[in-house]
Amino acid sequence: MSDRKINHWVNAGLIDSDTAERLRAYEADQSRPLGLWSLIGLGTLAIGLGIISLVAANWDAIPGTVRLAVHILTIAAISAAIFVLRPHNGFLGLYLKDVLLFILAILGATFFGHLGQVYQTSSPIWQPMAIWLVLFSPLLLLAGRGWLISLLWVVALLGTAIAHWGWLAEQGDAPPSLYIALVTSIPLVALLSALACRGNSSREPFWTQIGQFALASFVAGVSLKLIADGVSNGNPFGAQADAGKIAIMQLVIWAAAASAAYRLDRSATGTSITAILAAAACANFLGSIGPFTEPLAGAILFMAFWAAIGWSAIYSGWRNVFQVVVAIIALRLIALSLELASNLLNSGLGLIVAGVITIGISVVAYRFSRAFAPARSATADPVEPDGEP
Amino acid sequence: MTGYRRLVLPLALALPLAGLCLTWIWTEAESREGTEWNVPVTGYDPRDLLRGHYVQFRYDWPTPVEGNISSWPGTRASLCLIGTAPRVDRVAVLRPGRSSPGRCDAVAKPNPWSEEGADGLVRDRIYVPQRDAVDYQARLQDPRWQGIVRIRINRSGFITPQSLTFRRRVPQGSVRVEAE
Repeated sequence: MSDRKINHWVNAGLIDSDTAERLRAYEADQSRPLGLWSLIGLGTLAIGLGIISLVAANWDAIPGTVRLAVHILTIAAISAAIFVLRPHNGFLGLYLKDVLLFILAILGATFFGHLGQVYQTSSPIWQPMAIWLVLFSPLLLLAGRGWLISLLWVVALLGTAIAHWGWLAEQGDAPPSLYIALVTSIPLVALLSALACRGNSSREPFWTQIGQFALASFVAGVSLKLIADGVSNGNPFGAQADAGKIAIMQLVIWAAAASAAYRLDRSATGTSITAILAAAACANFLGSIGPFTEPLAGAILFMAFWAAIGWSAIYSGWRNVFQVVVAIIALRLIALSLELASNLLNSGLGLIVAGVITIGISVVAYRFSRAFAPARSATADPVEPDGEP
Repeated sequence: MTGYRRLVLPLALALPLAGLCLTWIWTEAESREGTEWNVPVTGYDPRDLLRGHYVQFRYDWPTPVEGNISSWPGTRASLCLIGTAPRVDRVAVLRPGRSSPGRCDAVAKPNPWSEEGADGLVRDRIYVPQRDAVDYQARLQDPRWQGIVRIRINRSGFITPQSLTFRRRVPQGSVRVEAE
């Protein structure tokens, strides 16, 4: 905070000189030697890059066993550092531990590739990913604190599931319906774990983030599926898959997950999550069995799903989520107008009409969002819409 | 902090370390099983022999008994190796549902999860030191040199190339000279 800004506010009569003095004293007390830190950071980066170049240049000269041993010893050293930092809950304890956890997890993942290079082996990517998940999940979930670790874990979980699905699909035979229903429900496992652990953990924000990432990926997946349902008569899960059977299984699993979410969290957040899961279950089921290949019906189903999310956002006061909902429904409306009149883009007059429609929908959506979005919460972090109790 | 909680973090830190070490030991043990064979190879694609530090090559199996080795996905053909390891005398293509050509000393199957996928019996790649890569490439293109890849066939029948050597092609009847 610069003195210039504070002087500006004093001159504008926004704050009195006492407040200005207290602000200056507070800022002086809170200030960090950022310049020094950035130089230390730059120096560390240079050393790190130098070590990497030295190793890379002599890669072939170093026997594979030695390289693998150094790799393992580095992992052991970082594990020891995390253990030593365990009681520290200041800047070092919280931030450095998370960065070290992240580096540890990445080094663990690259170890599998390194083994493959030394022993000239190869395996389907889901195998090392699944082993990594088993080995590292307890540590990441026990010690992680920030979004770096929560995002890494959710991405790894979903990535492993997708890699396994892809591998199974390439085996020739269509994966069983139950498998597809279960693998598409994996984000809900993360979501329910987050809801279950959030209340009992001293790291509530971490579990909240896991829940947010899981719910966001689930909603994104369902939305893509609803779009795919409308694109053609093709089956989004492959020509051989039984879309109706899968949809019934998903309906059952997701309804059970919605009920579990309600039991785990009786607050407004829990109710909102329950509503989103229930809406996803219904919309997905209707999309699979119903005649939603018509542009209008498909768009209505898509927007109904997002309207349910919008309702949940209002109910729990998730301002940012609500704004995203309005934007997505507006985009879907614009896309629908082009779908219904696909010849609009073929002529100059059509382009003008399309432009007017786009601007009109955008302006209405903007005004709607301003008028109805939940108020910005005074305490909650604006980037964490799910941060309500 | 209770006694239970004191133990949890050390255990969670030890688990990945132990797991990675076990994976290493298992990979090491697996790399020692199976039989090793020498297979002549030819350059696979003169325009792109080297991809990164990998040399790509095409297996030049000696005297296949039956036609070409199919390389499209889903055929599930495998290769019957006849000979005394590491020398391959001849090979026969085994197709599912067809009668076997008799005794096989080893059976090789394409590893669907290798870089080559279903082409695994036809072509492969091997990681080579960077400084030797250009020399390897030149010799694979040179008709005076015959590339020989030492492969290991593990218990699943999957091929893992171990090393690449060259010997000079000499006129018929002369003694072959092993080089490098």
